[in-house]
Amino acid sequence: MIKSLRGRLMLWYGGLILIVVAGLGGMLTYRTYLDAQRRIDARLESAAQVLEAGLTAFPAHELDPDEPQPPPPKKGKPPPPGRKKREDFLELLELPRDLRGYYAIWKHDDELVKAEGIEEIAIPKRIFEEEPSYWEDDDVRELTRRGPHQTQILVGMPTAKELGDVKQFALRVLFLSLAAVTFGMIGGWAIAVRMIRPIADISAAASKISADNLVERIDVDRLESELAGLGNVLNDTFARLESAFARQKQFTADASHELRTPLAILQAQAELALSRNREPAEYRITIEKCLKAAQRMTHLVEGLLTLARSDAGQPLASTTVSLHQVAVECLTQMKPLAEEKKVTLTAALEHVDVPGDADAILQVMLNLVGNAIRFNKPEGTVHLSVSATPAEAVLSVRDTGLGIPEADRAQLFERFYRVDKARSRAAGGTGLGLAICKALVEAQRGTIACQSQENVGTTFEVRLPRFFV
Amino acid sequence: MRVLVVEDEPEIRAALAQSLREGGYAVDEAADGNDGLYKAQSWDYDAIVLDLMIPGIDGWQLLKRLRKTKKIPVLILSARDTVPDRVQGLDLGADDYLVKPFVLAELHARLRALIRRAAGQAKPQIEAGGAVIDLKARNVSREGQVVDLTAREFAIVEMLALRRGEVVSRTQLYDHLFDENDDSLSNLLDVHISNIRKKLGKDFITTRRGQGYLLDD
Repeated sequence: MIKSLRGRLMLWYGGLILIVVAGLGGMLTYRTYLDAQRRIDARLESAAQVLEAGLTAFPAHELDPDEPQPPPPKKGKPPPPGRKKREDFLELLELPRDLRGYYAIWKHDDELVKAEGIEEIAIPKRIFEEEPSYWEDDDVRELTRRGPHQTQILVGMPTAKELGDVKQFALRVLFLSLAAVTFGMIGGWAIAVRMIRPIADISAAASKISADNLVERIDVDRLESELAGLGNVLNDTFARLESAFARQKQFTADASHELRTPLAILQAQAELALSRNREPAEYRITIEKCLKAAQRMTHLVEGLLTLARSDAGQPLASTTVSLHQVAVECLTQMKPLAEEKKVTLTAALEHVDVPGDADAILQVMLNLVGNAIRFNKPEGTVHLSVSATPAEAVLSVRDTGLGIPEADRAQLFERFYRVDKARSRAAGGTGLGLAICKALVEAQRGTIACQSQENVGTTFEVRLPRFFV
Repeated sequence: MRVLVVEDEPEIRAALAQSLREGGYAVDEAADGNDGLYKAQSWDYDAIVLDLMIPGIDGWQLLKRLRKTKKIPVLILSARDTVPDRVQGLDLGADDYLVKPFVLAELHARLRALIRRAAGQAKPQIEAGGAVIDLKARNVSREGQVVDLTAREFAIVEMLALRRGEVVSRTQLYDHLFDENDDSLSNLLDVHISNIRKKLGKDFITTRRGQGYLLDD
């Protein structure tokens, strides 16, 4: 089987032309054959009529054995004048000049009256049929029928010439058909190649795309509308791939940077401390700094692992979680920090249950409340509320901090995004907190959103479905 | 030698600054790009240690703008380690690129190399004024004997040696030996010069009145 599209198109095209041309040619040839046939028969017919006319002139008793003989002439009386002899009548019988054929006429009792143009002929059996009938073999066609006075007439003519013409016609048609099919296939091939070239172009452009080269795009303007659709779909796919790869690269670069910084701290501090003899107090401070750096790396690694697990789609536990209980736990854990930062914690908690993972929800709450406490004004407040709508549980954390500028809000939940780089890093943040919240909330089919007014405060709102449909 | 450290991570900046000071450098610090650029344009540092991911204007920006006016040797210190990053840094005008986490000893060696190169000095030892000044060991020897100098004294000798044959003004000496945190007592320099002469000979350093000091070849 031909696998090439061009080949197939060419064959289909050629086949179609072949069918059309062969069909037409066949019909034409057949019509021509029928016409030739009809002409032959018409000529035989008219020849038979001529013979009949001649026979009609015969006196009936000459031909028809059932006809009474005329009374013989009385002895001694001369025959009536004008009476022709049989030979004269026979001479009248002849075929039209242009019919190069033959004939034979028999009387009803099978006696041959006359035959011309043919050597020997036995009376064919079919003559006993009433209807005029035609018979043919390879060279001749014969018409047989009843003539006047119960005679049987047979007229025949060679068909070679007429049928020869038809044969010539058929050959010409065949030749033209083959020519048409050949040209059709050549033309079809040429057209197919031109039509298919854009597909080859698309393949070439697509094959240039690799992990290192995602910039290539298919030139859609040069394509026909159907292929342009394909081209556009592919270009969109490549664009999505490119941006996904870019995000991945960015994340890896950020993660690597974030991990290297505490490592650099460890290295520099330890090396410095060891470079000369120092006081025990200095060593102590250095070790504390190293410990902090190690803790920072630990937080970062844990955060990255959480995100990696969420990325991999590992399912969280699914139990019925009492948000009230989790919120109380969160407030208990956050109390020391709030006291340290001199921030007041308030809460309004309804009893609501949601399907989900209690640890994940606790982590989200701790993160949001922790941020709210840390990024607050002195003597500020943090308000945690849990409420319910018929379909959702709503968890919100409101602070009286400096607010988040409009420009940052769009990227707030991105990994490693920090609004105020210096401050949050000094506060020990990994930059992953909100990204993790988003991942955990969405894993439980919830949503998280942020509203903020500069210098007034920020509210984070988490909505979790109460029922999984 | 006076060095500027531009690094936003406080623990690294502190460790770097202390390490460099203990190594005999005068060290200025900057925690963001704007402050760093300002300082770099204001003073004639002998070298700058530059982190790339800093708030304000980033390290690349700082470097580009600095290079419009200054040829100070710059050593980039960064967690960004890919080849394109390093190529970009060096092409933007940095003289060296060190990836975090880094080893302090290596940083010191590279800094010394940069400063030597900037002074057109190929080897770590300079022979001048009848003595051998070892830039790596940070000491001066006379006839094979190491002469005991304080860190400040060596710093002055080092500077004069790197610019031997040239007159170095008092202002230059101040600018290169004291960082922003020092209270500059104008006669502190004279005290150091006098101590050096006591240890290495009266003619070791020549005074040009009204111009400065110089160390002869």
